[in-house]
Amino acid sequence: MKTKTIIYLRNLVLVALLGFSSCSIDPSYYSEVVPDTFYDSQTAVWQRFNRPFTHWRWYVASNNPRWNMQELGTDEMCLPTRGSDWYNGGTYQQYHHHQFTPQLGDLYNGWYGFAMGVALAWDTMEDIDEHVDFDALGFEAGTRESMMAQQQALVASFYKDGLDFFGGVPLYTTTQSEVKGRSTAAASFQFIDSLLDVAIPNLPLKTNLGAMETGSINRAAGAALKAQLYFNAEAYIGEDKFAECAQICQDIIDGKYGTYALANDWTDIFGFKNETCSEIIWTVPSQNAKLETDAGYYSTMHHYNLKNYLGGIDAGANNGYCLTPSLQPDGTVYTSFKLGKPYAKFEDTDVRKQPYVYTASDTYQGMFIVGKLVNPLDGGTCTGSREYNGEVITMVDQIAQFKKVGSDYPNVASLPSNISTAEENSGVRLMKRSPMPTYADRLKRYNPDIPIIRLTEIYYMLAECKMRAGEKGEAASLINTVRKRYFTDGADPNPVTAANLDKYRMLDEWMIEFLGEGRRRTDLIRWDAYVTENWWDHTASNDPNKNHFPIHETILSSNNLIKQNEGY
Amino acid sequence: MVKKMNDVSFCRAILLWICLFSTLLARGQDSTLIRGTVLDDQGNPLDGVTVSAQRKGGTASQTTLTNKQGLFILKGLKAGDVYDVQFSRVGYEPYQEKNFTVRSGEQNSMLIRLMMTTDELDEVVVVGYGSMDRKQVTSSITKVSGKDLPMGVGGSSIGTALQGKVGGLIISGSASPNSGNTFQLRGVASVNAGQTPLVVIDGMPGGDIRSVMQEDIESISVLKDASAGAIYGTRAAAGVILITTKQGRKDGTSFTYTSETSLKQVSRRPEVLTADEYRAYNQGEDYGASTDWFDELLVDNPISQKHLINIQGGSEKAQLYATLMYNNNKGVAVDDERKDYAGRINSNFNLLDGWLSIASHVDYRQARRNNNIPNFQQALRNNPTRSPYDANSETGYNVWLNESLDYNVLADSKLYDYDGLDKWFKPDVTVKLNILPVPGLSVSQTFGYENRQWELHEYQSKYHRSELEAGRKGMAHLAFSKTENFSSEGYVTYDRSFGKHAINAVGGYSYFEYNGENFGVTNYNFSNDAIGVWNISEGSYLSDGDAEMSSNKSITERLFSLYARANYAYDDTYLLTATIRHEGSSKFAINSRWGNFWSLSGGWRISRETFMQDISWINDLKLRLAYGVTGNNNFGADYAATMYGSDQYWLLPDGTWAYSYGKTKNINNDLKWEEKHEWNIGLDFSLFNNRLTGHFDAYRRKVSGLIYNVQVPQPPYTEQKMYQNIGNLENKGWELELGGTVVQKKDWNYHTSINLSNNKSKILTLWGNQTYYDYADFPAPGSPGTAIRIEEGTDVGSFFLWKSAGFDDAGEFLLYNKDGEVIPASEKIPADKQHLGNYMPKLIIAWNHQLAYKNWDLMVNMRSWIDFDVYNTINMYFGLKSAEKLNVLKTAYTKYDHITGEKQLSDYFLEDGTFLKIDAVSLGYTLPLKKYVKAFNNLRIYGTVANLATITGYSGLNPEVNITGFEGGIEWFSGLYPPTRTYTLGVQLSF
Repeated sequence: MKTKTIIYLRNLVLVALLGFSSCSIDPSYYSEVVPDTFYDSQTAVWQRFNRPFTHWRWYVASNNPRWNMQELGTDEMCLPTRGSDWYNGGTYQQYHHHQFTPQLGDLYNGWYGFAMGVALAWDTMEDIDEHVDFDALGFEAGTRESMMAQQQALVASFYKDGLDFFGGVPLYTTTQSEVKGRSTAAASFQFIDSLLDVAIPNLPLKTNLGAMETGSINRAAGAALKAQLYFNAEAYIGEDKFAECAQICQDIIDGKYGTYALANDWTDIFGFKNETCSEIIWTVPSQNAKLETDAGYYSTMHHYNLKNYLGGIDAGANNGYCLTPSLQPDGTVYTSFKLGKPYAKFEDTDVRKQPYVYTASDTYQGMFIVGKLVNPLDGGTCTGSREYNGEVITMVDQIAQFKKVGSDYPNVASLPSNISTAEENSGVRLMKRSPMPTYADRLKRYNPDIPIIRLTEIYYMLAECKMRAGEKGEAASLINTVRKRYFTDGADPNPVTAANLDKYRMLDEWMIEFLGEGRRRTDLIRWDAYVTENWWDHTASNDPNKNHFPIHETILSSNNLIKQNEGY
Repeated sequence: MVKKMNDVSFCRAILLWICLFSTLLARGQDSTLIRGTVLDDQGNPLDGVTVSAQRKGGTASQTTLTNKQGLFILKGLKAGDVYDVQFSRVGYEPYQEKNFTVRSGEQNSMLIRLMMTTDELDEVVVVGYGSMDRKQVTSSITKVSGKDLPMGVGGSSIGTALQGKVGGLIISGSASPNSGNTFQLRGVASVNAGQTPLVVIDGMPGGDIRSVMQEDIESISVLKDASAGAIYGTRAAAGVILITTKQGRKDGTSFTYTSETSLKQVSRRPEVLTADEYRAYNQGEDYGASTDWFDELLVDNPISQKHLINIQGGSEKAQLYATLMYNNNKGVAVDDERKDYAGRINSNFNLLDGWLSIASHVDYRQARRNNNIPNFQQALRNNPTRSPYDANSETGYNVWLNESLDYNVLADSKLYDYDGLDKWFKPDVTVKLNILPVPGLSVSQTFGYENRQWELHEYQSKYHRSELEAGRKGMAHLAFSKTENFSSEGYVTYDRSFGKHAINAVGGYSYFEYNGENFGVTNYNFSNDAIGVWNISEGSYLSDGDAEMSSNKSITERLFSLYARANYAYDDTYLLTATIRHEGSSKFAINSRWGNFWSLSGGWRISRETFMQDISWINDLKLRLAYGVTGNNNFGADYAATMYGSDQYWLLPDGTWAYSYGKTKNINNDLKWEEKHEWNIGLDFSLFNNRLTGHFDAYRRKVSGLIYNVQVPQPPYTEQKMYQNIGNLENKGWELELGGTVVQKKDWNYHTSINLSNNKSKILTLWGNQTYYDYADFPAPGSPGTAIRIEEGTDVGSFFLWKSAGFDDAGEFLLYNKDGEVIPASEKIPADKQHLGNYMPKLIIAWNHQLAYKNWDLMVNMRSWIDFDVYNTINMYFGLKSAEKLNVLKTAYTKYDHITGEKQLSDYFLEDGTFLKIDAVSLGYTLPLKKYVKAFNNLRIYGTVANLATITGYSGLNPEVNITGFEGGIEWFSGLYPPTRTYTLGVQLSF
C-alpha cells in the first residue's frame, strides 16, 4: 500500500514537472499583426504602402516645427512675446534674430521628420517586395512599378527638405545599410536628382482635369519636385540650374505631366472641396472625423476667443504667431527696410485682403483676421483676455504695447516695437490653409485638404527663371496671369512689369502668393537675402552659416558620424 | 556561540528536573498553583514577564506577571491537568513549556531563562526556493524582520518603512500617499529605466510591492549580490527582494486590533514673492487680491486613519492567519487621497502523517485613489494678486481663460474629478510532499496567480477652464486595464546531514506568464455635468465622430527556466554553494532567447577552527567569497519579432479611408541578454557574547552588454529608438552593517544598528558607433539642453554642464569655454560643456536605535547622505527675474538679484546636497492588560513622527532627490510635491 502510494505520487510529480517543462516561450500576439498574415488583400497592400505618406502628412501639415523653421526666422512671420505668453526662454526670439542653437527643439523634428520619412519609404518597398505577390492578389500590371516610383519620389522630397535645412545628408538606398555619415551637398543633390529621374516616368499621370487628389504622387508632382530642386540649385550646391528648371516648369504648364489649370477663385485652392481643385498638384488629404489635418498652425496663431468671432466652433487657440508688422507704432509704414511688411504689400482691392468670414455653406471670403473683430454676418465678437480684457479685439498691423501709453510711455511715438513688445491684438493673423466653418457646419471642419504643391508655384518658378534670364516681360506676364484672379474683373492696380520687377518685387510676389505656406526661408536664401537683409526687429547677421540650421544635439548623439554644420 | 548553546541546554536540563521533581511529589488536590522565577540570560531576575498557562484541550487559562524579583505565582490551576505554560516579554524570545502536568499542593515550581532577541545566528534566512540558517549563508543577504519596521510612518507602500534598513538599497519617492517608489540596490545595474529589484512575495516572483501590508510581513530578505540572486537568473540583475508573510500560530488563537490616526504637515516649501512684494517689484499686472497659491493647494493638517484586525490560530496540523485592513490616507495636497481595503488569509495544513503539507496565501487589496494632485509648479508661477475664488461664479472659483502660463491651478484641480481604482488579487497554493522514506527529501509545487486591475473615471466639469476655452461642455474619460500573471514553480529539495557532512540541494523549474489588456473611451460635450462618465455616449462628440476609443492587448510574455542549487557544509565550518539557472524569455528574438546564469560561493567559519576556540570574545566569524552571473530582460515584449501597427487614415485608390500600417518597432535580432558578473567578499561576525554583530561586504560587478533603448539614426532604422547592447558598466562598493546591544539591563535595553555604504559606478566601454549618450533633457521654457552625458570612462553620476564663470556687469551669465576662457553665455557651444560634480553620495549612512525601558520602547531612525551634488532646477527656473511677467521665488530679488540674463545650464545651480534626516521617531508603551482584564493580553500605545527633521545646507526643497539610474541628482520642479512630516498615534489591543 505504502509503496503504491509512493509510486503514484512520484508519477504525479513527474507528470507535473514534464507538463511544465514543455512550456513554450513563444510570445502570443493580439493587437499587432505580423507580416506573414497581413497581406491578404489589395487593400492591405495599399495600407502598407500608405505608411510613409501618413508620416509625410505629419511632417508637412500637422506638426509645427517644419513650418516654424521655414517661417519664423523670416520677414513674413514671427512669434512675438505677448506679455507673459510666448517667451519660452527666448526660443522664438532666437528664431527672429537667427540665434539658432543645437538645443532648439524644433530642429530635432526638422531632422528626424525628413529622415524618418526616407526610412519608412525604403522600408515599405522592401516589405512589399518581400511579402507581396502582385499577380496573386490580382493587381493591374505596373502597379508595383508605380508604387516604387511614388516611394522614390517621396524619398526625393524628404531629402530635398533635409538638403534645404541642413546641407548634405546621409544618403541611404535601403534600410539594410550600415549607419552612415553625411554626404556632401553636391552628392545629396545628385542623389535626389537621380531618384526623380528614375521615378518620374513611372508615376501615375493625371489625365482628368479636376479629378480628386488623394495625396498620391502624380507625374506632375514628381516633375515639380525636380523643378524645385533645380530652382534652388545655386543655394544648395552653387550651380545655376534655372534654365533646366524653366524647361520643366514650361512642360508642366504645357500639360506634358498631366492636366492642371490655375483656379479662378483663390478660395477653391484652400476651401472645403479643394480635393478637386484643378490647380493642386500634390496635397495632404483631410476630412472631418477621418484624417483631420489643419496645417498645424491654427492653434498657435489665433486669438483665444476667435471662436466667438468665427461662429462658435470649438477650436482652442493660444494667440501666438502673426505677420511681421507693416506699420510703426505711430501708424506709418516702415521705410527703413524693403522686405517684410506683408499685410501692407497686399493691394487694398485684393479680394484676399479682407477679414475672414464664413459666408455660406462651404464658402468664405478673406484671408486675414484683422481689424475690429465683429463678424458682419452674425455679430459674433472676439473679445480680449489680457490687455484688452472684455473689449472687442481690434487686430492691428503693429507690434507695440499701446496699453502702456500714459503709464510707461508718454506717447505712441515713444513706443518700442520689437519681438518682445507684443500685446494680445498685435499683428495680423492668417486664415488661409484649413479655413474654419461655423458651429452649424462644424462637421465640415478639417474638410479642406492642405495643398503642398500647386500650379501657381510652377508659374512663379518659371517667372523667376525668366526674370533671371533677362526675360522680364514674360516673367511679369506669368505672374500677372495669376494676380488677376485676386481683383474684381481682373483690375490689378499694380501689375508686375518689366520695369518694376527686381529682386525685391519678386520676393514680394512670392510672399504675397505663398504667405504662410512654409517656404519663405527657401525663397530668401535663393536670393541671398536671408542673412543679408534687415527687416523689422531683425538685423542682418551677414553670416552665411545661418543659411543652414545647426543639427540638433539629439541627432548628433544618436549617430556620432554626423558632423555639425559650420558655425555652430 | 558555544556559551549560548550551553545556556539553552542548562535551561532545558533544569526544566526537566523540575518536571520530574514535581511529578514525583504530586498530590491529589484539585486547585493548586505554580511558583517560579524568570531570569534573563545573565541570570538576573526579569520582571514584567507575562506568564500564562493554558489547559490542554480546554479554554481555561491563567495569567500573571513576574515581579521585580522575577517571581510569579500562577493560581487557580487544576491538579492533575496538563498545561502549556508560556512566557513572553518585549525584547525576549518567547518560551513555552509544553505538557506540564500540575501536581496538587504547592510543589509545582519552575525556573525559566528568557533569551534576548538580538541573536541572529540561528535565524532562518529565506534565500529563494527554500531557506537556510544564517550561519550557512555564503552570499550577501540582508534580512529585515517585520517587527523592525517602524509603525506609523505612513507612505504609499512599505518603501517608506524600509528606508535605511538595508545597506546599499536606495528608495526614492515623494511624500504623496499616491507616490510610487523607485528601488535601487548597489548602484546602477542597468541603463534601463525599470531597473528595480525583482520582488518575490511568498515565493512568487514578479510581485508588486505596493500590494503588501506592512503588518503582514514576517521578514524581508534582500539578495544583494549576484551569487545570491543567480537562482532567479534573468530578472535578478538589480537584486531580489524576498517578502515572506506571516503564518498562523500553532498554539491556540490570538486577536490583534490596531488603529492609527495620522496628521500630516508640510515640512518645507518654496518661498515665492507675496502679493505685496509682487506689487512692489512691479513684477506684473496687479489684480488687487493677495493669494498664496502654494498654500491654496494644501489641505490644513489632513487626518488619516488606519484600522487593522489580525486573527490567527491553529494547531500543529493546521494554521490560519487572517488580516483585514482599512486605510484612508490623505496627503497634504488637495485632491491627493486614497482609501485602501485589504485582506489576507494565509493557511497551512499538514496532512497524511507528515507526508503532505498544503500552504496557501490569498491576498486582496484595493486602493481607491484620487491622485489628481494639483500642479505645484504652477503655484510658484501664478500671479499672487489674483484670487482663486469668485463668490459670484457658479462654482465659487475665479476661472479666467486663455492664460496657459498663469491659470487658476486650484480651480483646475477642483473642477476635475479623478477616481482611480487599483485592485490586486493574488492567490497561490503550494503543495509539498515529504518523501518520508528518504529523510530530507521533499517535492514542492506552487501555483500562483495575480490579477491586477485598474479603473479610471475622470470627469472635467463644463466650468473647467479647458472646457470653456474649447467651447465644450464637459469631458468624460473611462479606462480599464488588467494584468494577469501566472506562475508555476516546481522543485525538489534534499536536506540531510551525514556525520560532519551536510547537504542542502534544490532543483526545479519555473514558468512565468504575463498578460495585459486595456481599453479606454473619451467623449465630450454633455447635457449635464452629472451625467458624464455614467452615460458616456450622451456627449455630442460621439455622434460627430470625434469621441475617442482605444483598446489593446499586450503580447503574452513567457519565461521558462530550469535551475538547481546545492549547498555543502563540512563540519559546519567549510561551506560551498553552487547555483545554475537555464532560462528562456519570449522577449528576445528567436535565436537569442536562452541564457545561462550561475554562481559559486564559499564560506569559512573561522571561529570554529581550534585555534580560535580560546578567543572568547569572538562568538562567530565567517569569511565569504562569491561570484555569480545574473541577467536582465527588463524591456517590452514587442521587440521579439516584426509587427505592424496602424498609424493614421489615408486615402485608398478608390477614395475610401483606411488606416496605414507600418512597423511598430525596430527589431534587433542580435540583442543578447544583459549580464551582470559580480564578485562579493564578505565577513560576518558576532562578538562580545553576541552583543555586537555585523556584516561587511565589498563587491565589484561588471554589467556587460547593457541593454538600452537608444536613439538610433533614421535611416537605416524606421523608428527613433531601438534596444541595443551598448556597452559595459562597472559598480564597485562596500557595505557595512553593524548591530550592537549597548545596554542589556533588567529595566534598560538599548540596541542600535548602523549601516554604511558606498558605491561608485563607471562606464567602462561603449560598443558600436556611439561614443556618448545624452540624458536629462531640461524642458521648456527655454529648453536649455541635456545635463548628463555618459561616455567611456565617465563616472555615473557626473553632470555634463557649462561651467559658470560668474556674471558680467549687466547681470548676464558668463561661462568658461573649452579652452578655459571666459565667454558670454550667448557664445557658448556644446563643445564647451564639461563633466562637473557627481550625484552619487560618497557615503550613505543609516543609523537606527531601539531603546526599551520597562514597558516603554523608543525607536529612532536616522539617515545621512554625505558629499554629493544636487542640481537645483527650482532655483534655476523660478529663482531668477524673468522676461515673463509671472511670479518668481524671493531669491530673484535677494540672492540672485544681480542676475538679469536668461538661465544657463551651468554648475551655478549645482549644490552640495549633504543631509542628515531623522526619518522616524516612535515611542510606545505596552500595558500588560492581563493584569486588569483577564480576557485581554496587551494594550500598546505608540506615537510616531515620520520625517521629523532634515539638516542640510541645500537651498532647494529636498536634497534627497532620486539618485537611481542615469538621470538622477536633479531636483525637478515638475511633479513637485512638498516634503511632509507625519504624526501618528497608534493603539494596539491584543487578546
